[in-house]
Amino acid sequence: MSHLTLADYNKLLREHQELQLRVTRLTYIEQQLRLAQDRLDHELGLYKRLSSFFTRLVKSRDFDLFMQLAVEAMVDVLEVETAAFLFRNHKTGELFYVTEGFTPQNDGDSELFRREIINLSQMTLRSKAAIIPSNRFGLFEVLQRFNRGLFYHATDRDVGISVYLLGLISIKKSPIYEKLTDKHETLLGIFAQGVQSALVSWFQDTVIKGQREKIDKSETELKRLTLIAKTIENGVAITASDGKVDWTNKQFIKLTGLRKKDYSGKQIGEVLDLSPDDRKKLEEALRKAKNIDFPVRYEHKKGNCKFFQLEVLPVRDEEGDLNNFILILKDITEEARFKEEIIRINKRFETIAELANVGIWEWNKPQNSIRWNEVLAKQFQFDHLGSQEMLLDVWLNAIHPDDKDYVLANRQKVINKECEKLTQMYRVILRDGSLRHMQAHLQSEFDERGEFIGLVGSTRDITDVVNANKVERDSYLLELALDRVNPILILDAFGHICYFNQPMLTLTPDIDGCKGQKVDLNRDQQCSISGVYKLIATYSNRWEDLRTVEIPFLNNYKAQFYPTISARGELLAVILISE
Amino acid sequence: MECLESACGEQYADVNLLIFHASIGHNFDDLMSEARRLAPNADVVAASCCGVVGREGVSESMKDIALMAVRGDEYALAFTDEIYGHNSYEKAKELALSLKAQKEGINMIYFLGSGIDIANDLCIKGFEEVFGSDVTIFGATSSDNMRGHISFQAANDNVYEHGAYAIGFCDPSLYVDTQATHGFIAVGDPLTVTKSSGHIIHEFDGKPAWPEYLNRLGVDADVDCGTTIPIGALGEALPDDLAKEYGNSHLLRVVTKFDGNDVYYATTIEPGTPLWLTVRDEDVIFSEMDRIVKCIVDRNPGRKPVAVFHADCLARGRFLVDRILKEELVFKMQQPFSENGECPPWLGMYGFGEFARLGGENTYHNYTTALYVIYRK
Repeated sequence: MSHLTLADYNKLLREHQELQLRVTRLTYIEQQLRLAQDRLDHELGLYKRLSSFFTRLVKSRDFDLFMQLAVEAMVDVLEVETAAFLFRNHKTGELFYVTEGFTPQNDGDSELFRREIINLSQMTLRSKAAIIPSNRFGLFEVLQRFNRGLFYHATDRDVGISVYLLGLISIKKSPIYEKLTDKHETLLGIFAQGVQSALVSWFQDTVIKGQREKIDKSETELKRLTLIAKTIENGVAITASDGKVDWTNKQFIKLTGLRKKDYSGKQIGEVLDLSPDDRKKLEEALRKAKNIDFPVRYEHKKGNCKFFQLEVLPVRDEEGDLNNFILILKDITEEARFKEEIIRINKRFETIAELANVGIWEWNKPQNSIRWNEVLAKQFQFDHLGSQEMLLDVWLNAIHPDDKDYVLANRQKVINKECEKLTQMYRVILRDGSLRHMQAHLQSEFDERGEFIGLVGSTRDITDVVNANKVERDSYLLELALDRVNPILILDAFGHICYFNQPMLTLTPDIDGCKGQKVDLNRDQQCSISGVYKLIATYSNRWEDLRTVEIPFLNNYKAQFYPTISARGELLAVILISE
Repeated sequence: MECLESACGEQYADVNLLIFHASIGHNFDDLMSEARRLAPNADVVAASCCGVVGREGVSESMKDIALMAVRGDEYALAFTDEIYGHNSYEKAKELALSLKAQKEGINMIYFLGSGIDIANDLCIKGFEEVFGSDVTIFGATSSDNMRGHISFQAANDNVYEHGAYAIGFCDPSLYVDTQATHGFIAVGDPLTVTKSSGHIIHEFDGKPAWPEYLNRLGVDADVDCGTTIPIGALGEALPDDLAKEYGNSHLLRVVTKFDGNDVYYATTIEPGTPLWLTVRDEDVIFSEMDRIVKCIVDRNPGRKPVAVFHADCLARGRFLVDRILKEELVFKMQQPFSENGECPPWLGMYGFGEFARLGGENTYHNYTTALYVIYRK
């Protein structure tokens, strides 16, 4: 049996320690192998993420989503803290900018970051994914917060787009992120090429799609226009940009009486038999390629004269270049003849009005113009050829001061649509100092939308009629005023109560407190005062027919209706109840 | 929003509590403010990790996120900042007292603290002193991507780098069953702690701790924790009875920080304690996973889990086995709890450490898969 010497013991101890180290070193080497395996596994995972991104990218049809997916994928695939994606469309000048993991520190940060990305592209090679040299970051205000980064930028001049892709790791977070290596450059390179290809394809698709949509739209529009042109009652001619006729519809032939050989390939201005002035207008419109719409007189081949509304429409492409002209002929012969007839009727009416000594006038509000006839000018002692402002001044100055408020208020009632028309009497003091009584009719006019567009009116000098009846009327009123026994009610031309005495109040208590109002005195009985109103309306248009009428009143009474004229020249209805 | 909709449907605005795990690439301030905006009435907590596990499986990119949403108010929430190894007990007790003051009947506590420079055994002690050892403490410690550089914890409007939050559940009809497992085998002679204070080891075998640790690992002297964590699991020997329950004779500990020659251990460590280096054994990892899942299921016969929390060591996750094996491992742990192919609500993370009972005691673990299965009584 041998004994273990000290030397043997020490040797064994050393060998034991060596063995321990080998065990742990074996563990370490094994771990290194595992880490290498993990790195490859992880890298494979990154490529899988890249592949997954491209699959989603292909399916994406929304551009904003596309950009968002791209920055999220950069963070995921490159394993960076922050990603930015800038895209410039040179044709439209639009700039799209999306970030992921970037926290602005103030309002201007985001915009500054965007500018710095573009500035960074001036310092780096195009179309190459590269790690940003560490000394670059310090040159920028926002980028100096980062100390690692990857950048790619490229421009496709054919499609007109630029792409900028940036992945960053901040100084603060860099200890927890993997160091950027050529592996990341490769990944970004593949990623960028994929993004760029997708963008180019996406934009070309968009352009093609846009063009196809335009063609489809144009075709549809053309079909629609052809259908319209064929079926409408208007004549349509399409010319080339030089004015030579390309196409016409059947109605054009019918309206003009031309045959196809008469116009085909010829200048439209030469083909249409227009007056020299109209031809000049048409040729100028074609030469200057401007839109014009004007009435023309046309000598039809069959010998009869026609009137057309001729519209010239220049048609331009998207770049603004002239393609052709569309000419539309609308047959307005009937309207033109009708207009001539109206003019003739108006002239006849004006003659009659003059013969009947009726002054007529018309105020057109949109044009702010006033027309009047000679009779009116004579009535107000005004020069027929004077200005409309002068006419207005003369008229306003002539109205009797006591009547002016009432006359102007009535005019305003008509303008405000409180009544459509009215007849009034007022006095005027002419330049020679004479007092005249005028009966005036006033009527408002409205367009098809109900907008007020003006007034028309007439005036008659009824001074002679008023004077002739004045003595008799005054005696009536005096007689009535003295009669304190019989009930009396006086209404104005609008049916408003002007006066009643105590016996009338006793008889019809309803009228108490109703002065100035229009009151139906007998709402429940057949024989109401509405009959009186009708009479007033009748006389308001025929002052010369003023006469006394007996009317039924409140069933059991007989009343006399005395139409008369007040000192202000107003029509008054006096109702006197007899026993 | 996509994450909230996926978890809660369109009714996410009315949940009471949102528990987020998010990988380290996230900006936690943005994450919290967005979650608070979308669910303004909810308490929101979050922690950083190296990857997440949900019903859909494993995800380990720099920006993954997973959440568990809770409806109902049978819980209390407490959070704190500035928790370190030297004050772990005081801070944990402060959290526990806050929970107790808020709600009666708390029977389980979900704890999530910083994964760097913390004495987790003292955290357990702090909670137990207030609630007793019957209250189950489960949860994890937050991490980065194994750099040992930084980790985040967040609660409502606060984001911390050295904080912690605790959720005390008090629904008397719920209970949690926990179990943890690793698959590492101790090798060689141990490193003996010859000088330590609290959770800091100054010397191994009479030599400066960090250099000697690296020497035993056979790595260069200038490496960081990112290199040592996957290979440097240290094993503490377990008594036979616990070893039997644990399926392993050693309880593992991780080193997530060093400062000069000092090594920051995950729990308090006494001089004289032998610590073994360990190696992985994939067969053991898989067989032990099957075993603990079976144990949990057998302990709760016929019951369907209400929810499952899951904490996994990042060194077992991202850096232990390749993706295919990892997914297989996750499938093996989820499948037994599924019903008709549907996995219960599941929130898992790859962090620095795990809490789970061992021998009936609340215990802190490293390098394990820990499952916390919540059942209704």
